Amino acid sequence: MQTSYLSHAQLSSLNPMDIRELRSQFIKTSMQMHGSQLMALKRASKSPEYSRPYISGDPINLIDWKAYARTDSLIVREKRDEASSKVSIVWELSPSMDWPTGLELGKQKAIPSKFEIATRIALHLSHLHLRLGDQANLWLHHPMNSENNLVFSPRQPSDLLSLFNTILKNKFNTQTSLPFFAKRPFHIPKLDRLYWISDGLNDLTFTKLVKKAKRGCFMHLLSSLEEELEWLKDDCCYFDHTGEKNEFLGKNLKKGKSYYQELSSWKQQLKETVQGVGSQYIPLTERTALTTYYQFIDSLFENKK
Amino acid sequence: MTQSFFNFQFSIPGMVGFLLALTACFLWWLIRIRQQRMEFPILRILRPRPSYKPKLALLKPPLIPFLSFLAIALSILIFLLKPKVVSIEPIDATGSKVHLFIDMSPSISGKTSLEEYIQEVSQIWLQLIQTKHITLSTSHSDEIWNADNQQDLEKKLYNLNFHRSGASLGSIIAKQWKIINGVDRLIVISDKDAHSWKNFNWAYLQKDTDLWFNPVGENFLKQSNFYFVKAKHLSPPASTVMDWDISIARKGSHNEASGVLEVSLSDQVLASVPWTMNSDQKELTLRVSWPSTSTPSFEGSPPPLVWKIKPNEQDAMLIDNEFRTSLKGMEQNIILVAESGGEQSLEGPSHALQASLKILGIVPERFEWVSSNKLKAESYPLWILFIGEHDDPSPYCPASLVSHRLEPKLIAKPVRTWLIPYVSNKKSFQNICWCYHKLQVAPYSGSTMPPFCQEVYDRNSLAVVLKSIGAKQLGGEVGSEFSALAWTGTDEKSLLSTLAFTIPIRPSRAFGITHSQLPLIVKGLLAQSGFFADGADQLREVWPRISDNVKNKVWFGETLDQTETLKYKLSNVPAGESLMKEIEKKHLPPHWQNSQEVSKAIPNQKKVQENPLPWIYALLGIILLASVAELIWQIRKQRSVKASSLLILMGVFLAQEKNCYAEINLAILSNRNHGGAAGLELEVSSRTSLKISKSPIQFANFNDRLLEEPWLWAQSIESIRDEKGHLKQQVGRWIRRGGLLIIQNSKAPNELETLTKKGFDYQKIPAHWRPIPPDHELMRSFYLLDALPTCDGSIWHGFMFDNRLAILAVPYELLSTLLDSRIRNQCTEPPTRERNLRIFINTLMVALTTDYKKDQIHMREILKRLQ
Repeated sequence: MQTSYLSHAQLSSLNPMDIRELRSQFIKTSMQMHGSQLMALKRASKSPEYSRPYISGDPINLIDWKAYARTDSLIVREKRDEASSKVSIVWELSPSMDWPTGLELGKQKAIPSKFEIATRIALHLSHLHLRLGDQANLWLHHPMNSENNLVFSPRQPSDLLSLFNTILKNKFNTQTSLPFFAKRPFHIPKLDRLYWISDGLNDLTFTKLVKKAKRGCFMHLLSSLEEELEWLKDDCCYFDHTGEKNEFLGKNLKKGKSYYQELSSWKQQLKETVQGVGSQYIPLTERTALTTYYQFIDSLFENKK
Repeated sequence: MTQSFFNFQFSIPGMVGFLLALTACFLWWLIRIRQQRMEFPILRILRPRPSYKPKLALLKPPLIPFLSFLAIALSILIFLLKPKVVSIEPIDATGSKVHLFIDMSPSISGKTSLEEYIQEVSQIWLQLIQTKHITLSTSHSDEIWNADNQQDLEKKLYNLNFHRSGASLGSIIAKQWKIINGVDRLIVISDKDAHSWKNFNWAYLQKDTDLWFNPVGENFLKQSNFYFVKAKHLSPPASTVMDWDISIARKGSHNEASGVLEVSLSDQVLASVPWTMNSDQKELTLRVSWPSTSTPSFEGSPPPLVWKIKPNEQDAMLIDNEFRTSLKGMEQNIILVAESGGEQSLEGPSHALQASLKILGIVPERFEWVSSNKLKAESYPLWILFIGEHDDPSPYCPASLVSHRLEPKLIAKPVRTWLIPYVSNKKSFQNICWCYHKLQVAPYSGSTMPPFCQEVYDRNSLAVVLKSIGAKQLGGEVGSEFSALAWTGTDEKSLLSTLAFTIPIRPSRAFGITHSQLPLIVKGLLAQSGFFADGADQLREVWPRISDNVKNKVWFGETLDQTETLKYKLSNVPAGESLMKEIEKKHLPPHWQNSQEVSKAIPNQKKVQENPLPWIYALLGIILLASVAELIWQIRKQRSVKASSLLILMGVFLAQEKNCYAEINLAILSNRNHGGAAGLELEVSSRTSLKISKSPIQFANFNDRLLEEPWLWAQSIESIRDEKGHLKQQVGRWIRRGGLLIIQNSKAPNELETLTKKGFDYQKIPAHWRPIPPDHELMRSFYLLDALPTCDGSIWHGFMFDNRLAILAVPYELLSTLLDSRIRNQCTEPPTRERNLRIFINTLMVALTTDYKKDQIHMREILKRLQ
C-alpha cells in the first residue's frame, strides 16, 4: 500500500539516495542490472515476468507450451537484454532559481529555494540511473553565461552522497564552490536521456539540446509562492530586476484573476513547446507530494515496455 | 520641583543629543515611509493586467493651444457674468431733471384735505425749484406739465381735485414714464394705500432713475370709513314701485353707528332710509323703495340715481359716500318694429306679442318701420323686428344695427335682436335669411340679397341655410334641425345677438302655440336672451368702478361725448380705495423721514448706463483670434487636415441661415386640370396632425420633378409605362428607393403583371401583386376601414415589394373626387366623399410611414392616444 510516510511528504524533503519507493519493475536494488536501455534482440526466457500473450507472427520457440497445456492459452516468454544508457541531467543555476531568498515570508517561515529542490531532484535522478547501470552526467547550467557551465560524472552512489552532503552543509548556497564539478562549456553528445530542471524564466536551451537525445524530460519547477499570491503584502512593491522595469503593488497583483490567468496561459504555452519537440513536461513545486513525483518517474520508465 | 522643571536650561551636550535624537527620528521616519520593494522574478514573464485605473499623466501642454484655450475660457466666463450697467457720475445740481408725480386718488382724500395736500406738494415744489428742469404730473391723466409759479401749481391742483376712479400707480407711472423719457430723479407723492401700490414693481425703475417717495397722511386719525358695496335693482321694468337692495359697509372702528341713506335724482330726493349698524357689524343691506310715479320724466337719457350715505359720526373719506346707478324701470327699452295690421290690428302678428310683453311688465316702443340711423342700436337692449314679404326689407332690418356690428365700440353694450316672420311664406323667410346675414355674417353692409338666401323657399330650407352660415339651433329636438324654433348667433366684438325665428310668434293652432302659452314662451325667450340680467350687472356697464385711471378711454386719446365723459368723471370709487389698507414701509421705495430732508431731493449725481456692446465685441474678437491661432497650430502640426480644415472654416464663414421646412406635396400625373387642393388640405389638417400643400404638383406628361415626392398619383397606367407595357425605368428606380405609386382607373390585373415584369429582382427581394387584404395596413393606418370600395366589379390591388406596399392600383379616380375640381366618379355605385377621404388619409399615412403600427417605437404613443 502506498499510504506510507510518503503520503504527506513533499518534494522539499526528497532524499536523493532514497529510491525504495519507486515501483518500476526495472529498478532493482541489486547491481546486476546492465542499464536502463533495452536491446532490440529478443530471446526465450523461463521467467514468468517476461510473459505476454501470443501475437500472430511471434516466433514459435518463444511459446511456453507447458503453460498452454495448463491454461489452454498461448503465452510467449521473451526477454530483451539491457544495455547501459547515456543520461544527462541539467539544472539551472540562475538568480531566479535562487528564489525565494527567505525574506518573502520572514525568516521563521522560510521555504526552500527552487535551486535546492532542483539539486535534490538532479541527484535523485542521477542516483536512480547509476543504480540502473547507466552513465549519468550532472550539468549545472548558467543561463547568463553558458561558458561557465559545470559538469560532474559520478561513478558510484557514494560520489553522489558525498556531493549531497557538501551541498547540504553549505545550505544550498549558490555562491560557494561545488566540489567534484569541472567548468566546461556545453558539449552534449548523442544521448539516450536528457533531464532538464528549470523554472523556465531564463531561456529554453532545452528545446535545442533535446534534439540530440532519444528521450527528453523538462521538469518545470516553480516555487509555491509563485503559484499562490496570498502571501503578498498589499503596500509592498514587487519587481523583477531584469528586462522591463515592471513594478506592481501587492494589492494590485492580488486583485482579480489576471495573474493566475497569465500564469496558467504561460505554463500551457511552455507545455506545448516542450511536447512539440517530443519531450515530456512535468510541472513541480516544492509542495508537490513525493508520491506524485515518483509516479512521474515511474511513468518515464514504463515507456520502456 | 515644578519651578526647576519650568526653569529648564539647555546645555550644549544636551542640545547635541536632542538634535541627534531628532535626526534619528527623522531618518527612522524616512525609512518607515519608504516603500518596501521585493524581487519577484516571475514578473519578467507574466504581464498581469491590473484592474485599477492607470495613473494620470500630467504632461506639459502645447503652448499655443493652451493659451487659446485659456483666452476662450476666460472670454466665455466673462460672457457668463451679469453685466453691470449702472455707474454713478456727478452732475451739476442745477442741470438735473426732476419729475414730481402727484397722486390724486380717493384714498388720499380720506387722510388729508385737498388744501393741506396742495400745501404739502407746494412746499416740496418750492424746495426743488432751484433745479432748472422740474416737471409735474398727476394721476388724472398722462399730461406732463410745468408750473411757472406757486400760484399756478396750487390753482391747477385745486381745479383738478381728487378723482373718483382709482389709481394704480404702476400702470399710471409706466404710461407717463414713456412720455417723460427719463429723468435723474422721480419723486412720487402719494399715500401708502395698498390699492394704489398694488402691482407696482418700483424697483425696476431704480435702475434708470433715483426713485424717491414722499408719504402723505401719515398722521391722520384712523376713523371709520363708510362706503357702498353694491346696488341691486329688484323691480321688473314696468313695476309701479322701485325696489332696490343697497349694501353698505364700513372700515375702521367697531362702535355702533347710524345714519341715513338717501337717493336722489337731479337733486330731488326720492327716498331716505335711516340705518343703524351694530358694534362689530361690518356690512348692512337696506331695502329702498319709492313709487315709480314720483320719478320725474326726462327727455333723452336720464341722469343717474345718486345714492348718499350720511353717517351721524365723522367719516374718513367723503368721496366714496356717493354712489351712482342708472335709472331703472318705466323705460321703453324694447323696440318693436312691425307693419301695421290696419283695421285688423287685433289680429296682427305683433299684437299678441305686445300683450305678452305687457303681462311681463314691459311696454315696448313700437314703430311701423325704421328708416333712419337716428335710433342708435345700444339705446335699446332688445329689438323685435317683424319681417314681412317686402321686396326691400331694410326698414325692418335697420342699418344702425348693422353699423353697430361693423363698428364696435371699445366697451360694447349687448344688443339683442329678434327676427320674426310676419307671415309664414317664402318671401318672409328669404328676408329673415338676408337680415340675419346682414346682422351676423356680412363683412359689409350690402344692398342685394345673397344668392343662398334666394334659395330659401320654406321653413326647412331656412334652417339649412342658417345652420350653414354658423347659426345655432334653439328649441326643437336635438339632432332635428327642421324642428327648431329659432336660430341664434352672437357677434363677439359688438355683443350683437340675433334670434331668427322660423315661425311667427303668435297663437296658432298650426304651430301649437296657445294664448296662454305665449307669455311663458316670451318670458323664456327673454331670459334666454339675457334680458332679465341682474340689475347690478347692468349697473357696472353704465356707472363702473374704475380701478385704474389708465383704463379710462381718455388716456388712450379717444374723444368721448359729453355723457360718456361725465360718466367716467363721476365713476364710482373702487372698493379697494375705500378699504384704506396700507402696506408696510419695507415694500415702499426709499422716502424721507421728515420734511426737512426734502432738500436732499436735489440730485447731484446721476446714473449712467454703460453700453456693454464694445465689451461683447472685444470678447468675440478674442475668441475668434484664439480659434484661428489654434487652427493654424493644428494645420502646421497635422498637414493632412489642412485642406479639410480650411474648407470647414470657409464653410462656416460662407454659411447662410436658411429656414428648413417639410411639406407634403401631391404629385399628380394627369392630363386633366384638377385645380387646387384647398378643401382637401383643410380636411386633412383638421383630422390629422399632417398638412398637405394646397397646390398640387401636376404634370400632363411624365416629369422627373414628380419623383421628388414620396408618392405619385397617376391618372392611368398608360402614363407610367413604356411601349412594351413595362414600368418606366426611372419610376422603377424611384419605387425601389421607397416611393409609393398610386395608379388610378386600373381595372385590368394582367396589365399590372406586365408592368412590373421587368425592373424588380424577384429572386433577391420578394415582390408580387395581390388584392389588398382586409388586414392590410391601408385598412388601419389611420381610420379602421372594413373594406375598400369596388368599381363595377374591379377591386384594389397592391404590389408588395420588399415587404411594403410599393404600387397601389385603384379601380377608379380617387383623388379627382377629393380635389377642388371635384370630378364625378364614373362608377355605377360611387363611394361617398367621406369614405374616399378616409381612404386618402390612410394612403397618406402608408406613403409616409409604411406600416408604422408594426414599429414598436410608436407603441407608447399609440397606447397614450388610445387611453
